[in-house]
Amino acid sequence: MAADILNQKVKEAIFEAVRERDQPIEVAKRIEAWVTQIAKGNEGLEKPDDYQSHLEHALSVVQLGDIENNGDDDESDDDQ
Amino acid sequence: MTANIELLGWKVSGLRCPDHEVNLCKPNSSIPFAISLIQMPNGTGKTTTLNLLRATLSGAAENWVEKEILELRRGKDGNPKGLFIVDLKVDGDKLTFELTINFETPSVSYRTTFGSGVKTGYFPPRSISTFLTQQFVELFVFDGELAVNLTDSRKTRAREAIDALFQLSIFEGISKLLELNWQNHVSRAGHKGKKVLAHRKNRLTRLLGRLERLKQEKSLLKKKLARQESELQKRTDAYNNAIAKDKNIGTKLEGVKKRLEKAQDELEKHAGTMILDMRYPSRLSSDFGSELQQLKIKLDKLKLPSTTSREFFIELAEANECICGRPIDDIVKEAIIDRASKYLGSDEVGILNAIKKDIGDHCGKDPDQHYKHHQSEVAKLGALLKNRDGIATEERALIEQRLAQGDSELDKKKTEKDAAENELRKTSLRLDELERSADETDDDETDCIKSLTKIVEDAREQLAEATSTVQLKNQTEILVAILSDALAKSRKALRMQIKDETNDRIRELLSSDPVLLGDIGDSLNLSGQQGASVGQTLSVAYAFLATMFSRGNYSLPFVVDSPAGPLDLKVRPQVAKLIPRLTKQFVAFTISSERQKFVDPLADAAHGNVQYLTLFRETAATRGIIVPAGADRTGNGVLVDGRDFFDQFDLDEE
Repeated sequence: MAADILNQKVKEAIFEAVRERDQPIEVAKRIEAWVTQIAKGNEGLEKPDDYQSHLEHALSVVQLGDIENNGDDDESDDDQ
Repeated sequence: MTANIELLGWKVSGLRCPDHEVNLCKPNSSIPFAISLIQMPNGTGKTTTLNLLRATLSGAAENWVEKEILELRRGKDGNPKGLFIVDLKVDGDKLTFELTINFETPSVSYRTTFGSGVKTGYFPPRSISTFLTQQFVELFVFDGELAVNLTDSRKTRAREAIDALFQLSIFEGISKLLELNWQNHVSRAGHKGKKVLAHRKNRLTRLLGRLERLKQEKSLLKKKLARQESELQKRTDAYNNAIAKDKNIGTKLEGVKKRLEKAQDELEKHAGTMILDMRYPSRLSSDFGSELQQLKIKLDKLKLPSTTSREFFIELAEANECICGRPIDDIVKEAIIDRASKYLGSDEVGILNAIKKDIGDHCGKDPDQHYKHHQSEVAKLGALLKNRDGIATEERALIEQRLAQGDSELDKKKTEKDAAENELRKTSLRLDELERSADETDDDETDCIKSLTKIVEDAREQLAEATSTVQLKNQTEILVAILSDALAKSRKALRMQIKDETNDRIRELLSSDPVLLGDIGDSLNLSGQQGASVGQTLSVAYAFLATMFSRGNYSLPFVVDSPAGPLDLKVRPQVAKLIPRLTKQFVAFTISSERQKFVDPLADAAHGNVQYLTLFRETAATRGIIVPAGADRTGNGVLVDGRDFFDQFDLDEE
């Protein structure tokens, strides 16, 4: 990220990791934007206001399959 | 990102090392020497200078604790402050960081000068901030051991160098933020697992099914009710017709019904009027009237409400002159506003006046008057009720008289009418239950549609909450896994690229059978490492560092403490010859014993573009040294520029 050519390597790694997880390309774009902002020094990792919008954007595009319904009527949290 | 960073020099005063100013540039220019050798005997403060250089470049001193600050204080003179100034050139523009250390407070402060701007604080230009992190600065301002450590399989310096250069820690940082976000969500909303989610989903499905069934039932009952009302009307008409077959009774009954209807109307009308009347307390009891009158008398006695309201005084305070003609200054104004709060506001005055007027209107002079009138109306209502009931009794008597005649058809009609009435009642009762108001005690099994609708809304919210929690957990896990994969893939790709570039550099620089870099793991692994000499190994390590820090679009200086220290005499020339070709600027702190087999090959390789500085403290051990004219004496230190003195200086320890 310090050098443009290597940014490309990191970018490729992000896109490949996203593809392997069968996630939409938008996830890779959001991660790339987030990483780039931090790498440029425009945002810190330590300030919540800096990262909150990136975090929400990235989470919002992650695709989930059907959440299991095991039909159990016992409302307890022992599966965690 | 492009950046060409050059170190122009530094100045230090009031700290543990001798006061000195080092200018790394050629005479009368701002172009630094390719090689600058600064000879300092051990004990002169080499390590202190290196640490200050790193801290000033990286801003790390802001995190120093009191002990770290006080350790930099010079023992004898007790200076209240120390100063370390570093001058850089960034793509042609001068950049200066000043670190001031206050031993009294104890605290540190920075000042940054870039171009024409001066800022209090540590503010590196954005274009090079990546290179000036604490972790990164330690990679280009390092001691000679680093090169050795890079090839030590027990250490992780090579991996750390790549991670730092390409900021790969960002991936782990983002993963931590995602985990933190999840933890915060759980602490706010509670942890709702899959079982909870399944339970809530099932419950909502059940409730929605039940609500739908009840709504359908209601719709059917409404239609049924309309049919039953029509049926009852028919049965009632048939029954009335059957009764009327006895003309005598039928005529009488018709007259009774009309009277009953009229009596019922009068009764309802009068009852409606009385209900309105009962809203006035004085009509229900003479005591109410008396007490309200007493209230009005007391208000009058207290002159409430007064004719002057709070607003009057507030307006008065704004005037220049009082109504009495005296001027209103600030003190008077404040007093008026303060005391205005003791008066009622205009809205309160209005309410009190309305109360007094109503007491006058509705209680009159004689409080009993309205009560007595109401009592007579109650008596009238009783009479109307009695009249209605009397006529109803008369009607029932006539019907019974008719039924007693033994008319089977009439009996049948009556049975049919009663049955229709019964069916209608059942339908009405069920509809009433379905349509009644919601009750907080109703549960999931209620038949009340309004209650069940509310319960469904609550269940929907609970399901949404559990769904969102499970979704967030799954989304977070997926993102964290992607970031972990991306980090591993980035490392692998970047190591491969750095390895190839390092080997290209080695082939270019060391033409005769060079040892190449085989792999980069936690450390550098050489091809055929078993047979590689120390010199070959270090050459690879330096080539690796040069590849890292002097790439196509940026270059950084190497600042090294004791570059030849760890090398034996046979290896030194090999490394020395290599250095000028690895980096544009090489600044080395040395001791006199490092000169042997190192300085000459280095000077030859750099074609004489070498600066020789010697810095030592003025102590008993150095008092006999003959210092050439033009040396820079700072009170507690001497800085001598020139190769002759550099070569003759023979002191490793002060």
